[in-house]
This record gives sequence, structure tokens and C-alpha cells, in this order.
Amino acid sequence: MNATMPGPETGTAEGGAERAQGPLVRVDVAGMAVQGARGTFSDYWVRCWDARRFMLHEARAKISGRAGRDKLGNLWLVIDPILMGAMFYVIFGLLLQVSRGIENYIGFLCIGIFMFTLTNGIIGQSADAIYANRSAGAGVRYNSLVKIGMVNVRVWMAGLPSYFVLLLFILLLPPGEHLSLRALLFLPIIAAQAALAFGISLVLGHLVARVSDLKHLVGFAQRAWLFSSGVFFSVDRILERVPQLAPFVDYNPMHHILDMSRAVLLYDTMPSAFGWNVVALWTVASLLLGSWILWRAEGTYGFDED
Amino acid sequence: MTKTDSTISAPVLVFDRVSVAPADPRKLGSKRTWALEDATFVVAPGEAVGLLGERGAGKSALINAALGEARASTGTVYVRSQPALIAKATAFLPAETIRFNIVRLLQGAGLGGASLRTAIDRVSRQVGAADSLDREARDCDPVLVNRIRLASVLRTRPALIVVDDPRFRLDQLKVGTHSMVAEYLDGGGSLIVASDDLKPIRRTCQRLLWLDAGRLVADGPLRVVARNADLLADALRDGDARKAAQLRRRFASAYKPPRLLINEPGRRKA
Repeated sequence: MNATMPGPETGTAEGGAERAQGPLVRVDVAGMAVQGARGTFSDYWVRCWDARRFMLHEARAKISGRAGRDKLGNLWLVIDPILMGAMFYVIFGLLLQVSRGIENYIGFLCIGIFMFTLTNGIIGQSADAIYANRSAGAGVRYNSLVKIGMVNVRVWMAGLPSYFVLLLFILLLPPGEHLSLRALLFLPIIAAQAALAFGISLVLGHLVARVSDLKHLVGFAQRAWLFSSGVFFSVDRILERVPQLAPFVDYNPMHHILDMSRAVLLYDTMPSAFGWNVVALWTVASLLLGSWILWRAEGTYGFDED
Repeated sequence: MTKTDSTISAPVLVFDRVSVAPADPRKLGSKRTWALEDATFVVAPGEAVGLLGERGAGKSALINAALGEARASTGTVYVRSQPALIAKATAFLPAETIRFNIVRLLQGAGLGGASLRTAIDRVSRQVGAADSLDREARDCDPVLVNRIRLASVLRTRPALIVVDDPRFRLDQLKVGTHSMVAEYLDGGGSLIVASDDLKPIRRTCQRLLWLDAGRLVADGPLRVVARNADLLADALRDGDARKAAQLRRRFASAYKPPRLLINEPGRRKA
């Protein structure tokens, strides 16, 4: 910026009116598209699907880029969750020997922490995705669905090894669970977890793109979410004291995702139909609502000024 | 029948009285109402247009409106097809291989599978990059990297390429003795080169759009507009604010933006 420049305001106010009329030019726009015109809602999703290869490719680049200077590189994606699980095992299993009245407390805790960390990571990191990726995409234009999806795919891919570490911990750490066929239900639970995180990050992505300050509140909201999801202890303990909070727990999809995972991996029981319904409702509602808001607001999030 | 001075058929980009709101709606109390105000111009096929303006003059707003990243608050932007962008933001990732970066760029344009492999092959043969494909971009000659970037963008067959990176010197990018960009322009492709000084523009463009404080103040042959831009730059360098303001008024009053009579599909008379 040149400091000696006369302010840009000078003359702009009256500038419009006094402008001389130029030549009249006939322009044939047949075969041209109006730029920035909103396509159909289904087209919006199709564009996101079309970008799937790009999202995967981009995610791989970002993950390996992040590991770039570490000597162990991508191995950290496995070491990280192992260290985290080992720490909880040592503290709660060996030193404190607490169970809080929960059968296989270490397994309970690992499922809670590993899975919540992943959902938390996806939502937290994609909150600012629209702004952070305002100029992303190698010279091609992507809609906000892709910009948020990109971050989702990346965090999810980086977190994928933690599922395997989780299963390993459940099988190997005492008491050493034996998985039945029911454990296969963990796969749709993972899918639901990913879809739910995407849906919520769409809604949040829009809100943060509008009011940047909200991203500071996201962290606090996530902590409240953590405690109402029963990550460290059974939520029943809270509800015994404050039964009024029951609706917040009953309709908290993350609570059910953890509950369902524990049912199939630790206790070999069938997850409740109510749990599935709550998760499905949240997932579908947030995906539809989020993408609809983004679709309506596309082109109004601002652009890269540089 | 309205009398018109000229007709432009099959343009690649049309700005019809386009105004764009400031870049970041999250920042409150911006200094200007519009980042770009009431811009009208047309880019014809095969045309190379320079876009001159200092930081904050509205180049980004114009470019982003052309790319569809910013919605025109008033007026209309028409595009032949989605323009390709060459800018700092679309640079090759330095820590990734050349091949990875080409794939990234072409996948973005929707290529995949066999057509993607063919395209990589063509790019590497065209610019002689076969040895560099599996080297990291940061280890390669920057001019070679730029040649590969341009060749990859050209494979997506864009009707318009927007270059918004002063270090991306189009005139230096040659295959043998052929200028890559000259070949593209001869084939009917169009180009917009944005910069805050004339260096990257002068050798590639014949026409110059000049933006000042969010408004177009000139649109004409490069040598004419460039001379005026130099005059103003001199006045500003000397700190002569009065002369600068005088020149600005003179140029603004001399500029007569075209009025467009748009033949919209369906509304056209036989």
C-alpha cells in the first residue's frame, strides 16, 4: 500500500453519475453461463461426489506433509493412539485400579476416548474450513461442501489407524474380550459416526464462516458434549443426581454411538433401536440442513484478498 | 432496432456493470462499499488482457467474480466455461512430487483413470519433464515447474486462463523456441494477467485494463494505458499528491466504459 496515495474515497461518491457514456456494444452470450448462478440442490451434491478423488488425493498430501519433518513420519498416526491408550491403561488400570462400577473399564474408556477424539477432531478442524480453504483447489473451483468434506476426509484418514489400535487394545489388554460376529456391527457404527461428523461440520462450517468468533466457542461446546456423551464414565451417574438432564443425554447422538460401540465390542449385546434412530435422525437432519444452508449461501463467504 | 457501434460474438468473458462486495464479510466496517464497482468489459477469444492495479484496487474482486468465488452484488458475469486460475494459491505443493501435483491439478478438472494417465504422459513429453516426474517440486527448476503447471492447465482446455502471480512469467515459458502461451492464444484461448506492475503484463498482453480504487479507469491498447499508468506511478513516487489526483481525474474522465446490449438466449431476435 502506498501511504502517499490520496484516499480511494475521494471522488467515488459522485463518480458514478458523471461518467461519460461509452460506445454501445452488442454482445452475444449464447452458449455462455451466468457465473456464480446457483445450480440445483442435487447438483450441489453431485459436484461434491465428483470431487471425491481430489479430496482423497488432497488428504493424503496434507497428512504426509504434516509428517514431513518427523523421522517416524506416518508411523505417528499409529504411535499416537497407542501412547494415548497405554497412558490410560497405566493410570486407570494399574495405578488407580478404578472401575467406577463398569465392566471392563479400560475397554469402556478406550472406546469413549478414541472415538470421541476423532469426531471432535473432524468437527473442530473443519469449523474454519470454508475460510481456510477459500482459495483451495489447484486452480479449480470447489463448493463449500467440498471444502468442508476435504477436511473431514483428511482427519478421518489420519484417524483410521486409531480404530485398529482400539480393537487391538480391546483384544489384548485384560480382561481381553472375545469378539463375536456382532462386532461386525461396529462397521456401520463407524460409517454413522463419519456421516454425523460431516453433517455437524457442515452446519458449523457455515456458522463460523459467517461469524468467525464462534470458532472459539466450538471448543467449549465440544467439552460440554464430551461430558454428556459418557466418555470417561457412564452418564447414568450424572442423571442420578440431575434427572432433568435426561433429554440432553437421550437425544445426544454421540452418546449413542459410544453406547452402541461398547455394546457390540465389549458386552456382546445388541445396540438399542432407539440409539440407531437418534443417530440416524441427527445424521440425516444435519446433512440436509447443513448442505442446504451452504448451497443457499454459496458465493457469499468472501474470497482471498491477496 | 437499437443502433450499436460494434458486435462481439462468442466472447469468453463478459462483465456487465458488475459490483462486488468487499472480500471478507467477517470484517466489520470496511473502508469501501464495493471492492469492485460497476465494471464493464468483454474478453474475446484469443485475447490477452493485462489487469493492472495496486493492492486493494479490486483485482482480486474482479478475478474472484470471474471465477465464481465471489458473487456479483449487482450486474452479471458471463463465462464461456469455468476459467482456470494460475496463482500463488494454486501453486504446486513443494513437498510433493511433480506427478502428484499434476494429478492433483487434473483431478480437480475432473480427469481420472486412463484419460488422466494419458494427460500426464502428454504433459511430461510436451515439456520434457519425464526425468522430473518423481522428484519433489521444491527440488526442480522453478521455470520447469511453471512450464509443467501451464502445460497441465492447458490440458484441461480452458477457454480463459487467469494468471494472478507476478512470479509466473508467461513470456519465459517455452517449449523449444515456441512460446507456450502464444500457441494457446493462436488457438483461440484467452488470457487475463493480473499484476500491480507492468513487468509480467508487458510482453504478453496487447490490451490493458486498469483498476484504481475499485473502479476501472482505463481499458485500451497496452502502450497507451501503460504510458498513463507510468505517469501516475511517477507522480506517486515523487510524492506529488496534487499531480496524482489531477492525473486520476483526467484518466477517469477520458475513460468511457462500453454499454453492453446483451443478446440473451431466448430473447434473441432472428
